[in-house]
Amino acid sequence: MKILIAEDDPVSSRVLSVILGKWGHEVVVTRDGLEAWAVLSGPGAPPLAILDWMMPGMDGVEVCRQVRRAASATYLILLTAKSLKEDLLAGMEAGADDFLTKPFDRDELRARLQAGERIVRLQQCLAERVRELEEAVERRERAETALREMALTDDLTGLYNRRGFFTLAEHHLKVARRAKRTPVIVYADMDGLKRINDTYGHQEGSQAIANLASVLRQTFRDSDIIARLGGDEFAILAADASGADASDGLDTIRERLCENLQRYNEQAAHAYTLSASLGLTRADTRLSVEELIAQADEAMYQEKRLLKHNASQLVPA
Amino acid sequence: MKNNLTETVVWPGASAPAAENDSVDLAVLRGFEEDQCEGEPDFVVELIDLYLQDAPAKLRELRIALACGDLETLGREAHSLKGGSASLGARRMAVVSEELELAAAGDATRDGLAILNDLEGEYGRVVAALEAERWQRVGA
Repeated sequence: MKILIAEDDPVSSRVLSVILGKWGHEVVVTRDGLEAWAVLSGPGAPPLAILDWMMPGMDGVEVCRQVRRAASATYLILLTAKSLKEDLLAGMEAGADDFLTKPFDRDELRARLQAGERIVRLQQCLAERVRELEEAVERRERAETALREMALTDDLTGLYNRRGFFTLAEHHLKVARRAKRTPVIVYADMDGLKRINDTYGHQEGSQAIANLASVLRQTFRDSDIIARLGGDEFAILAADASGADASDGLDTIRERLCENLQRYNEQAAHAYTLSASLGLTRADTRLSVEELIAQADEAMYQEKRLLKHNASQLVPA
Repeated sequence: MKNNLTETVVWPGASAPAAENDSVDLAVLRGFEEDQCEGEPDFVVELIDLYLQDAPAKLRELRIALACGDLETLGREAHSLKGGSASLGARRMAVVSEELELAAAGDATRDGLAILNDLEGEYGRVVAALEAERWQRVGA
């Protein structure tokens, strides 16, 4: 172990450094407190220091104080001819870990060094463990981020997210094309989210989004792809229930959603009513998901314009 | 005191000084043989040399500090001299050093100058004893 000696008496210093050297320690010798503090506060500082109490410049007790003020864990042994209880207490209060009385006894020195080494090793183990834990946390955070980036579902609602919708819808469209089925794309824009956020807070806004998600889940089948594309935007790819006349299918879906929303609002008794603007379109399976979403979005705006905003909103009468 | 010193240096081979001079406990001094590293110069001799190099400067500091009434330096240097002396087994030297250290702290048993004179006298005997031991070990 690397050990610092701070001792102004050359004989004591030499004896100590030779003994420590023989015991296999690497010894850094300093002649006074200032020199010792410079080493202890520098890079690669020894984890254990033997400090003479009385030294010119800065004494051993003051070095202890400086080391502790710097929140350093260096194990400090004060070397002293003093053996008065008050002196020992003053040394301990300044931050010393142990004492060694001069002239020291080799067996006692060895025993006290062993105790010190044990503490230093424990501290090093602890520091190593903390470092490992920090690394593990960091690795985990990286993994979670990666996972989030790969996620197909939306945390708030449990519905598919934008990536989920596009991934699954594409696959679905391919199957529909082969089976010559025509699914329906629904684009839903929740009304008044900004107002809810501004009036009741973002938590209530999030709750409203989650509530609309449950109404959508009630309205559609498990096999349909229900997604929150982001913010107040939702999209659904539904296998057409009626399968017959195009407009009939769309109307059925619209009516069912309208009824469910109305029932929800009656039961929930919120200060606001949950409503959404809708755009529905039959999916031309030759088109891409992006194109179909754009079509449904356009249908929603057409409808809004046509019904002068209010009539198309699924607010209960 | 001077006699003793001269004698030791001039006739280092003589066994008499070490026997008569009890200023250094040779058992303590030779105890450092235990710390001798193989292939290294004699460790006891190294410590003797360190002490003999360092102590005169300390004694000079003590005299200056006493003359100036610098009690802090007086106390510190006396303490340091006490430590080094005790390490090598110079018991009386350590005791008188401590007396001076206590005097600096206001706990004087007698006049500071008297203690310092005594200390310097004792140092002469310590030098003689250490030189004799040194001669015996390396013959130079």
